[in-house]
Amino acid sequence: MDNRTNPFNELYVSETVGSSAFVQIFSPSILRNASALFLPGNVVLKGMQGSGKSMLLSLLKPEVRLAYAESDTPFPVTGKQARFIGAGINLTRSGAIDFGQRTLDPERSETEILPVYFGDFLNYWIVFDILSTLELFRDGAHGVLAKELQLRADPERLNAFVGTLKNSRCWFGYLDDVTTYEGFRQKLTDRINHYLEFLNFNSDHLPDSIRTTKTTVGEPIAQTATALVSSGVLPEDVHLFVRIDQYEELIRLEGRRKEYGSLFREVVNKALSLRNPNVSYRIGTRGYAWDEHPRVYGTVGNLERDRNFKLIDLDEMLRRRENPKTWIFPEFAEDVFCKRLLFAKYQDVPKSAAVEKVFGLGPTPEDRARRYCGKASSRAVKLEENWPPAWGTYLLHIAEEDPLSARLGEAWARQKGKGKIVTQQPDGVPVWNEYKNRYWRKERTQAALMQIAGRCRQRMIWAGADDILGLSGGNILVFVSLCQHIWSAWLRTIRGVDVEYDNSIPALDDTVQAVGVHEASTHWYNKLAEESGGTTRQRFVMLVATDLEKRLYNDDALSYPGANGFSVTLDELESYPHLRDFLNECVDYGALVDAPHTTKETNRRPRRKWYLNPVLSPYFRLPHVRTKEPAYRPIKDLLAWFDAAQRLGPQPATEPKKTVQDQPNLFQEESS
Amino acid sequence: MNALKDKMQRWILSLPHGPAFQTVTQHVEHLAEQLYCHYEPTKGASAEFWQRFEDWLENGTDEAMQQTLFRLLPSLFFIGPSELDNLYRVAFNSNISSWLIDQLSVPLDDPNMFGKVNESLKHTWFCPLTDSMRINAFYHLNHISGRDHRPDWLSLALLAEPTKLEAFLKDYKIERIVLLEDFVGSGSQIEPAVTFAGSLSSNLPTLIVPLVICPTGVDAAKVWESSFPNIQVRPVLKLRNSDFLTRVPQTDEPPDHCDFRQLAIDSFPKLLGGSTLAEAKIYGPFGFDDTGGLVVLATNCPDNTLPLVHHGSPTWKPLFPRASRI
Repeated sequence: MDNRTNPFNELYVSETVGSSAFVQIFSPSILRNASALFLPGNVVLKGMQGSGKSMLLSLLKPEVRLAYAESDTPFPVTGKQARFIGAGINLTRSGAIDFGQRTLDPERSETEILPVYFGDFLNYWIVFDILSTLELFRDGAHGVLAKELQLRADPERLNAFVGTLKNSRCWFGYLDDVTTYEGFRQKLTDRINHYLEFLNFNSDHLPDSIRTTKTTVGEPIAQTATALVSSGVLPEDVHLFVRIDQYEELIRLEGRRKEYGSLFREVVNKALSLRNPNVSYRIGTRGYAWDEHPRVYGTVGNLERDRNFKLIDLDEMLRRRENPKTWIFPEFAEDVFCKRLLFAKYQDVPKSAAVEKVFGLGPTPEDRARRYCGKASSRAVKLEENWPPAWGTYLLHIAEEDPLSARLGEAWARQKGKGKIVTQQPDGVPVWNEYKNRYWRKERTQAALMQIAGRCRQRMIWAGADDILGLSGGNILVFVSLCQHIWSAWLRTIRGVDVEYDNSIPALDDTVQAVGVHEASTHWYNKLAEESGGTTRQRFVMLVATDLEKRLYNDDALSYPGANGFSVTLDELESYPHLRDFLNECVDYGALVDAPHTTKETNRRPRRKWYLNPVLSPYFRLPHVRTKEPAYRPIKDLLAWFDAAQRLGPQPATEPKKTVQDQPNLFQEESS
Repeated sequence: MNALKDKMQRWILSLPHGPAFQTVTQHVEHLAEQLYCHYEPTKGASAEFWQRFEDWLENGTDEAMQQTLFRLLPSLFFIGPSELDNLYRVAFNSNISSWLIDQLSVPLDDPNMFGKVNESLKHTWFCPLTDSMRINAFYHLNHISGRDHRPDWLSLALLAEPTKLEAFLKDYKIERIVLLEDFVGSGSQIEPAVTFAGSLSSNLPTLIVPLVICPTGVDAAKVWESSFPNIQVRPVLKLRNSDFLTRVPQTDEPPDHCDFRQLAIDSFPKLLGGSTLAEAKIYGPFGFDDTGGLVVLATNCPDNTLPLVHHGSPTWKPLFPRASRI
């Protein structure tokens, strides 16, 4: 093995890695908390980019299931939960999202007719995909899966299935002339092709055979599932899961199609509302892209959580909690980490604590402070002119050994009611280091380190397993990206060293990790601008972070060590829906993370708090650890940030200035 | 070497320049993989780029100088093989084609315009001005055929008998000449060739196409055009004044140039390594004619680029060692 390859180069397991590699890289440890995904009933899988949605949904893909069977690797889901077949549609790749870019019927209102065609396209695409899945299972992996699931997809049974299905009223006669399975398949292909030809302006009209046989969304899928069971192709206990990928793209449609986007979502929601015992839908979506009360097309009703669908919130599931023992992300990350190393042919990967073995525990806060100061420990403290010289000498003396303690001592002296210490220097353990003040110290350590680094003109160091996991913020994509950049930084250091055949896993130096973390953070900051509306979000984050950093850095008394985040009251926020929606978008796109905030104010008005996505903290020189209270900010501050972020954005096109023409008119103006 | 790597990590983690060093590191990583590995004079038994890079940084007598060397690297304009290929194509499809259309006086709405231009190629002679121009690649990339002889005109100017050349032009029915050069600095190197072309009695229309030209070369081109009515110069890529690190500061130069200027001056004694200018065969801290070039071609480093980039001495290791003619 060439040790110079980076095991984390491929960030996205589910999208770019082939099915056979997926089998080796997929981490089943996340499944424990997502078992609803393999139980009958509709499921909405919610999470920000990189939270693992696509990875989980990939398990429903027939190609992945086959890859497990072909590689003799046990499928991560077993027993009753494994008795399913999967089919689906990717709304972008299938072309479904292109509905609305061409007028379907000039004589009818588009908003009236478009959703029907959209639903019809969905039906045919998904039914076709169900057939493809059956064929894949029948022909792939030497029929092992077909045997395991007791599929009986022989020609006679398939023809019988078609015979049953074609008579259903849901098709409105479109399948009347179909007699065989092949004919059925062809008929579906033709219809999909007609749609795609029309949407891509390769034909002038949709054929009448389509115009007169539009189906109701979900119904043909349900009928297909029922017919598969009744004709004996599918055993009764094998469930059909239908994936709807790229659901959130329907929100991003712009211009006139924005309105269609919400109608299309209602159409998909309608399929979920049908509640067929043989079919369940699986939708992966970013957090706020899923409405709290999703409307159903053609009704005034909404989908109801737990009645129409179960919600799996991956962000919530993987988010760090007060009690670190209940935090499941480290175990997930550990498993992903080990699998990547094994896939890259490292041979001494430990069965547990591999992340810690590679990244170590990281320097202690005291060591970090010493490293920031180097030989100039005095820079850790800032002395006031009116302080007695002895107090200054005392702090500087402490700083020589323990600059962090000296900085905390400085803060202690600046805090309200504690100032008398400048005249009463402690003989033994300084008061701020006493056990009874351990929380005071703990809450201020990160802010103090940030200030020491700044005073010493150093960038903060993030290193060690805890820091890497903390910066990942419960997002597996960020974790892998951090590992990727750290690995790259390490590979640079071994350039020229003969390690070609060394397959032992490295213990990475803290400095290498720190360099890699800063690179990863810069990468994620730059990435903010990539998607639609990204530049505004990026500027907003820049404005917020700069403000927070400045205030935190200048808080000499360390009175507000939790001010690396901000909080506003919900009632104030609700008055500005555009700001609320923008903040939600920032969370969805991984710029900010949010959480409810239990206020300490006497008015008890409910609040919400926001922090930078932890991986952005190194870029902005802000501690990622959340401690104490965030900064209570008035809504006008947020509005000002939002306004400034927008103002710096692309300006609407303005009328070109009229230029003075010195050229005479071609035609003489008639004199009156 | 590890000491330098440690130092670079330390630089990245320092403020206020740490983020800039981080960007430079990533930039250099990328270019090393994409471009620097193609530098021809170091192919074969030469140290690979990263080794040269570390040796080059070690030239700095202190950390500040090493950091300035490090920051200078992204300012170098490295023209790799793909970029050269594109310059060949643009030269032909844009500069030469438009000149031919002018020469033939073909109206732009002539439906057979391209046919006429293609036909004219049979009577056009494409030659290099010096042997550094890869005329063979130019012919191949642009699918030009039909000429066996493609001499460089600097050699012709020195060795050829004008009457014989005139006879050749007549025998082969050559109606116009296109002379190409990959890089023109001040123009002094190619001047004898241009003068030779301009002085031929046949007075054939001649196009000079520098693929890359410095501002002083543009000035020289104006003089050639006014001295020889049959000569036109149409460069492909004109470098701006701000692309050069001149001895005297310029108003529009990038802010880093102040540090780089001082670096060129401070490092020069070490660069010479005790030799005189003549012994070292270099012209000064800012290169030939004080140009202060920051250009490196994959084929070689021009002598008007800063010598601290390409010159080697017992006390200075070059990053892109120049294959010198002298």
